[in-house]
Amino acid sequence: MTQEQGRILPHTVDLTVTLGEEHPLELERPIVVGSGPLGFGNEAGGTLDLRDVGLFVVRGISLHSRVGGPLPRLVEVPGGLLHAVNRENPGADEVMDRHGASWRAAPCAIALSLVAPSVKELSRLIARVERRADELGVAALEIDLTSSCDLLDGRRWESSVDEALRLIDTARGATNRPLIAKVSPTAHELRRLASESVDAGIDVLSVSGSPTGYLPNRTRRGPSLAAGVGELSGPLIRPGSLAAIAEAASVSGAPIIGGGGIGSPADALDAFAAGARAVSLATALWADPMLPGALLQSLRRAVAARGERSVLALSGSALGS
Amino acid sequence: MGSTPVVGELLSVGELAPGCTTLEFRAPTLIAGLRPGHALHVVRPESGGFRLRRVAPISRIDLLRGSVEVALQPRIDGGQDALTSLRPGERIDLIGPIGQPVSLNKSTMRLLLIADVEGFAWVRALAFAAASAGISVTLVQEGETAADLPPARLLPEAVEILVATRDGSVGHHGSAADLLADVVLWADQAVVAGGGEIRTAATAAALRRRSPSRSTVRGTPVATRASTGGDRAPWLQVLLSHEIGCGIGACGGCTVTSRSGQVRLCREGPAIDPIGSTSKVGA
Repeated sequence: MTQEQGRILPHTVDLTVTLGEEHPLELERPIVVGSGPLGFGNEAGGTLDLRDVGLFVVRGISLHSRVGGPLPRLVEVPGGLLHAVNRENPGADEVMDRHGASWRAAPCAIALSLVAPSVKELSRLIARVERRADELGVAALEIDLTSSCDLLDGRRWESSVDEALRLIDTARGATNRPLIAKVSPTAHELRRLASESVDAGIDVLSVSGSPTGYLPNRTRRGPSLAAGVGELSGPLIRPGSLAAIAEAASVSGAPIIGGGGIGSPADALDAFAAGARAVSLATALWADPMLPGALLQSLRRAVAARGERSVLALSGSALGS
Repeated sequence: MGSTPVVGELLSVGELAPGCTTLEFRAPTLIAGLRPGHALHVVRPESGGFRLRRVAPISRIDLLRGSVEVALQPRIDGGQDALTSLRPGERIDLIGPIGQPVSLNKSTMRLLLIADVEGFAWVRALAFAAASAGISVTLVQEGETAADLPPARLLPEAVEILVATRDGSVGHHGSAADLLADVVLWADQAVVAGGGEIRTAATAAALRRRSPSRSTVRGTPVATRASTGGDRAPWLQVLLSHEIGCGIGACGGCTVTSRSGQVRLCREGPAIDPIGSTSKVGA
């Protein structure tokens, strides 16, 4: 630490965070690129500087290829976007073949977001991924609890705490890598899920998933999205996401990755204040790929202004004692 | 994200048809790489500081003015587009080009454009480019009524315009489909843009054109030109308009499924071959 008369200089602030204890995930920067908006790895090219990012979560992959629905898959809504891509992907093997080289070369940690409609399929998917994960530099696995579950008639895993915990337990038994569970702010019994998921085996809880939404088409009969119900992103979900981050942080033994509608450094600082240990950026990066760099600067200044040395000092600062 | 944003200065706000606003930007460094079929992402802060990328097809490229005109697409939720409130002199970020240009074969000398009112913006720049290259261009333009139609002055004089209105207020009383029988045999290539109905009509006409009986409804001789061996582009290209998220082929928000695989409209699109593929595109 460089300290002059009690003053902390921003460039000396420690931004590293370690998420989880049993299977720790170490991030050089507390900034996560959430799964989905930026694809599997290669697509962003040089536009997004991954040196400003701590963790890049690869778009959801499944054991076999998944095809999305017809257009429209994406519509604008006031304050955000409604989308329904249905976790489209060419299957785990093809994704690893095509994009694995870019993961190895990435200047940040890489996590794969796993999508499975059943416990059995998740088990097989993890086995498939684990064969190549070390070679490809995969640091962690994310279990997407906002994806659909066959046993729940296509509803999300997060709509049943018991099923979600069963899925996490299965994942824990199949890998020693750090496990992240992704939920949305509207997860059923979030408090219980956040509390019990650590015992089931997660290391990190990511409260960054999209809540569902629906919008009728005002010019033609039917819904705006061909799929009907979709997922919401953008500033309109931010207050709900902050409430969920705060709720989860107050009960969970696992560190929280907070996200949902973050579009500026100030928004990200709010997520830290609500209890996040790291923040997840998503669709805001479409319009502003420089956001991670700006956020790093804001974090350094905010920590230094508090006279602290580590970014961890920001986490939960708005929560009551 | 696919390209570095370029700051564009708004030169003028216009209208292609009632409710279809155009924005002309001065962006000299951007226009050199733009071609008909491309779109731009227009970025501006919305309420709450949300920076939204809005896809807008290029409707005119003016190399002398160093400007590009884009057309705002109707919002699917029926909402008012905040971009219409921009005033000349304002500067906003432009990202592009989005997608691939329309592909014309070197042998093409007769180009058929088919559009409804929404689709007109997508084919206008192509009409200018083709006409200036000496290609004969015919536009089959469909609308509900005369008042809906884009004015003819928005196209080069050399472009022949065949109009169909549902109420018969101008041109043919009926749909564009009724006018296609003759012109599909005349054309070396065709491009259609607009809603599901006009796309289906154009695709059906293209399929009929491939059938063994190649005579016009008026019994006039068929005189299609033989294509050269180097021609790659299909006879009919469908321009699919859709909101585009990332613009770099990453998010899957604009992907359509075809027999030949997945087509990302922001990367491989917006033109697809409807005969060689089976696009599952919703209305």
